[in-house]
Amino acid sequence: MTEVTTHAAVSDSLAAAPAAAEPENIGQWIIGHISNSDEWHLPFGIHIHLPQFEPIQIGGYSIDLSITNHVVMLWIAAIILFFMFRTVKKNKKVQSGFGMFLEMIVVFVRDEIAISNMGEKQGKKFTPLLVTFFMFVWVANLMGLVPLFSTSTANISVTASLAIITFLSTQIFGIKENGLIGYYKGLVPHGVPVYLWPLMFVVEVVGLIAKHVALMIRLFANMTAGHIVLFALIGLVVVFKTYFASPISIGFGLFVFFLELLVATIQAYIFTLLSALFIGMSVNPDH
Amino acid sequence: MLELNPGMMAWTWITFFLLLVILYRTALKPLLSSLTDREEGIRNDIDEAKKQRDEAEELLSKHKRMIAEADAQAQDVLREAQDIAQKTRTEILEKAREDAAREVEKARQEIEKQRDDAIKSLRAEVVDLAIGATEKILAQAIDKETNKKVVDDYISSMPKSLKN
Repeated sequence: MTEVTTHAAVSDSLAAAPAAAEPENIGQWIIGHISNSDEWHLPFGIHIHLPQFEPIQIGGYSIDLSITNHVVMLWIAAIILFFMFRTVKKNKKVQSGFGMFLEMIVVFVRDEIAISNMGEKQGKKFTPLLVTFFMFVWVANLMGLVPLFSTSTANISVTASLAIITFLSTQIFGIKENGLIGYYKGLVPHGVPVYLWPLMFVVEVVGLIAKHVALMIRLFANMTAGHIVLFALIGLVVVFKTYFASPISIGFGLFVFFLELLVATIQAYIFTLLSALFIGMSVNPDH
Repeated sequence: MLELNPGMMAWTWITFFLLLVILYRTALKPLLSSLTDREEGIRNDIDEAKKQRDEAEELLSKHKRMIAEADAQAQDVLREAQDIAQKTRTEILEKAREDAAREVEKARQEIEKQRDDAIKSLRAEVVDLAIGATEKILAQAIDKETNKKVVDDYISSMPKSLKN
């Protein structure tokens, strides 16, 4: 990695570090690693340039559909999942091998996430969506911990898209289940005096949006923060300019890596759980 | 870092929904339906087993009751039979005893009658013999009537014990 040479920003806080001549620093290096780019960085200095397109103008918005690093990561996650789920045997009552593991995950999502938060009928209906959420986010999270790949879920556009899918699901299926008026009436809690309804309605709408924004930020921040910590620990070697820092770097790095494995799983679970909860709340407003 | 990129979002949606559709078609739908089938099957089996167990228990208790009833009936029949047998035995014994007693009595009466007859005829014979002998001895000294009277008197004067 050519950027990994200097560390001017951290030299302010770390007096031991010598001043750097080059403009780049560890902070920029870290940010460079977790942010999106139009190249896929492979080891030995190989950079794959991904195809770039001119932004498309739709109603004043310019949409840049260029294939970026994170797009490729999402595709790879999707392809991994596709081949994972190919092991499911269609006409068999009992799965074997890896299919059993997938079946376990599907049963877990269906029973512990979907049905326990949405009820029997709705839970079964939304299980495919929630399983896809869980597996997609999980694999995308874990890919961030695998060399060659980067974390697409540390990109706020990705988490925002996923949160918007949840948000639209709550609105569309909430309205479908309860009717347009019934759904928005259901937003206001029972027992609120009539003259407070306008206020409560605004509060509830703000809360509704805030919930999904929190969903978006939670996944993004967790994945970003973990990688920042991981890269910062690895960067210690560069900051101190000595190999003696490597045991600390590797030790803590390994620890954070395992922590990240846990966080990747927990965040995928939480994202799915909260999606199930939000959709469940909107389709069953009385609960 | 915090700004939303519409192109990235569009790609995320495209990827996600394609993945959702493909996974649903290829794996999730069959998996979920087989799961449902399996659960349904297991639930049915359990219900069936429960029903059958209930039936079996009912049958068992019915049979137990029937056996107990049959047992009681058999006991009754046995007791009745024993009672009847006992009664019959007693009756038969009684009857036999009575018959025997009657037979004995009859025999004794017969014997007595025959002895009486024998004694009577013996006595007549004896009288005749005595008379004949006496007649021969007395050689007709006393007439027949007088002699007979004398002997009869004599015989009558004999102790009563000789009679029997």
